[in-house]
Amino acid sequence: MSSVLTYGSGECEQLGLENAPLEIKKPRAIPFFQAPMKIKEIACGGMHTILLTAQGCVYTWGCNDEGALGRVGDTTVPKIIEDIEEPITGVTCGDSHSIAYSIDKNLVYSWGLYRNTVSGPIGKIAKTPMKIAERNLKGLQLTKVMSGSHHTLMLASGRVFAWGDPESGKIGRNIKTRRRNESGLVMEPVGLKRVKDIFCSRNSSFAISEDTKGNTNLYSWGLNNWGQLGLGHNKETSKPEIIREFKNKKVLKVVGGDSHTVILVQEGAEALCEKTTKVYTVGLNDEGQLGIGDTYTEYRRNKNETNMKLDEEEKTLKQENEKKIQEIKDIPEKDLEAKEKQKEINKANNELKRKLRAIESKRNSLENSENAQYFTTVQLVEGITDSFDISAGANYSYAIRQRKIEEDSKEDAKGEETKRIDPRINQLFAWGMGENYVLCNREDESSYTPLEVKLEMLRELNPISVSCGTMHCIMRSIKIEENPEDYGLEPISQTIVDRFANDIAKEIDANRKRRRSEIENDTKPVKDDTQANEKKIHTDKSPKKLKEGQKETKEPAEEGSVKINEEEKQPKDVQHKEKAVDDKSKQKSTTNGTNGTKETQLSSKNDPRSSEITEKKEAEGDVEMKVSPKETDNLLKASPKPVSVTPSGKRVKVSETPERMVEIPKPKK
Amino acid sequence: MESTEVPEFKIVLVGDGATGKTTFVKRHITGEFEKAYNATVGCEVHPMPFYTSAGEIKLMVWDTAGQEKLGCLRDGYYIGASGGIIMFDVCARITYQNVSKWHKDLIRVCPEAHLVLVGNKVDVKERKVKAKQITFHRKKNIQYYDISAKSNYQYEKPFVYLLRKMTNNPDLILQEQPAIAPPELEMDSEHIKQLNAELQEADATEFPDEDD
Repeated sequence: MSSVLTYGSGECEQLGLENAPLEIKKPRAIPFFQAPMKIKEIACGGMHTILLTAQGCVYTWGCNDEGALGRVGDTTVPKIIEDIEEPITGVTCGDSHSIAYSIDKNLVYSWGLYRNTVSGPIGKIAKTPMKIAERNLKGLQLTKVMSGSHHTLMLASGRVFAWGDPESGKIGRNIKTRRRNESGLVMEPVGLKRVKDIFCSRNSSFAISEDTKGNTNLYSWGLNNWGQLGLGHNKETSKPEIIREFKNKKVLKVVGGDSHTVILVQEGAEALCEKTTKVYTVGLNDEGQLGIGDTYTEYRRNKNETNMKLDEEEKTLKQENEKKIQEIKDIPEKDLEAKEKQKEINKANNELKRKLRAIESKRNSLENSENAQYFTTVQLVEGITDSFDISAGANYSYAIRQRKIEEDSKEDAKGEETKRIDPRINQLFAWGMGENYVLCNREDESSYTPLEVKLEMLRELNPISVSCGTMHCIMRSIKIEENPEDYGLEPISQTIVDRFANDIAKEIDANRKRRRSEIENDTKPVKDDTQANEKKIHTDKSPKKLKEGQKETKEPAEEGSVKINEEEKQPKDVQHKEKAVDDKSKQKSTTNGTNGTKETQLSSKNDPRSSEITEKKEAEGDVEMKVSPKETDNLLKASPKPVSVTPSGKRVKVSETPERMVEIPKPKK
Repeated sequence: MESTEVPEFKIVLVGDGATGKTTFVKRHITGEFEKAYNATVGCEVHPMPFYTSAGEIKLMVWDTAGQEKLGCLRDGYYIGASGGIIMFDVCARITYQNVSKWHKDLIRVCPEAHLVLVGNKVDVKERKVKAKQITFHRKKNIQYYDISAKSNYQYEKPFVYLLRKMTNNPDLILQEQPAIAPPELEMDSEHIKQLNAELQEADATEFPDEDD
């Protein structure tokens, strides 16, 4: 059973619970979604939430002061929006507006209101969904719509359109006309070509675009007062600029709050076996938004000290000057004429002014000291590699990954009181400003580094994603034995693989060639071929011995090798199967809003379910498997204890092995 | 000639855009007349004299020049503040979402500052935030006031509160009403009664402390 959990502040009915509690520290399930309802997507605005079911129905709840719910009636609990043509395939929202769109029907609905950050509401509130973008979408295929607090980006046939609050250039243009705000609401293209994906932080915009040589770049534009665009400076820009650090890197997702940005990047893609993901952050770090430690307190201490010194210096200078002037005044008239005296005094005063200016500029440079209060170049967040999803609220962030067993064991060694936890339950990390209990640790303190969410209830519920509002959070979870797909959930890894299917296909090809030559070079006949291979597959499923990271790195190797053999023995059959898997993921990719895909053989790599399908087939003996002895050795090294194999050669399902349970410390109260 | 030096206190005004901060400070006639632009920080400083039972006190009220669009202000804005007014709009609760961030920014630089939270635009009868829904000031133990800049409703309340706190004189009262521009609209007594009733109700309800 899937659950929609809610926590944080409910002061403005954000929590979706009856009687609208003012505050919840410990996540609570929204009863409305307890029914076996398949949920596809959840997006949180500043103070409201929009939820899309797999059937394409849209539900909203929360603050409706400016029409963000798109419906009338009770705002405290989820209610369906009726004035909308179903099925909808995607939703997104900002602080006072919401968007629902359908890729199949090529249409976009919008409702609510955009606010200018200084002057307030722009135009009138749309209380119910209105069709927009019909003219702009003519002849184009809609792919995705993304909203920041008060602006929206739309991706269609590789082109980006933007509208909303024109402040800070986040809509990709500077408007200087009299009716500036109103002009901002007009949908206009952003000067980028061959765009593959779009993202928004609360006040900035991001896009992944491909150049003519097929290299991908991450562009950013919009508010940049704390360097949150990652461009190495803090001047706002309405013209998309390339973030140097991510040139030709596979950027999977960008999210961001008011003053910080979080970027999920796939690295080590050269050979698939080294693939991993890393989380980078950039922007303001006064409350730990970057997750790289408390750089700010130390900075402030230094700053105060220096400021005090400067104050003293200023005082002394002024006193000295007064003294000097007095001395000049005291000189008898006969020695120095009044005119000359005045000249001397002016000279002294000017000298003082010059010195004071120098002090002032020292103060200002202190004020803007980079790499303490804020960072304009991206920083790596430690301890959360291999995350598969990220999300961000106004001043905090989340990352989520599959559990790595060894880390838990380490904590066991500390001798703390431990609790059993299922290794299949995803690990959730939170950092940043903890006000309103949004970090899910029942405390409202800020956390300067990623903090694992350790809740009793998360021992049975498997968190799939977190959506962040400013003061509330909505977490999606499923039962551990369940398959995400059964609930209309699409793990981000799937989208990622779809988007980069082409690149991955290239890599597979290269890998294949390499392995083939390896096999050819290997003259020694391997006797225990098949069994070794089976063992190897099992090691993947044995969480006790293998780190998640290792698992990930092994799988591609396995598949690569399997494929070689598949191709050699039964090319047609395999191709057919691959296509079946392929079609499935293709369908998903369309609904998911990523660009069309051609080949997705490796989609199974990141998607536990589909990899299972392939493996099942293998186990059924459809394909004879061979593996180079080198590889087998490596795998056996990684897993000293081979996992038992059933007589028929079929793998034992992970869920049936009780020893999987690992001890981890009990969450502190 | 200065016979006695008039004590001065710096008060900073913060809050999301379009909550009525500038309207609020502009209503003080002397302050508006004598305001000066601080180029370093990029904001306007309104000197407001208050004639109290403890003599004349000058409040230097700092108002942003739209920097709130940047999410938060530089420390220079807060440095040396003895008091702070955090404002939101009771008709658009979305302006309430950053109250905790404003509060954090302020107390980080001025841990000793006395604070007051004000909900502006209570003249609008369809107010969206009900008094009992606002819990921030109760959690942080700071003072809250309903105000209406347009109708001058409770205009002086936040200032008197801050004056009392900053001079450490709980009995301080105003000897003279501050010079405020005439109200743009009147609030009827029925409406005011209702506001007060709601506030009392809010104070009476116990703050729910979640028990696991």
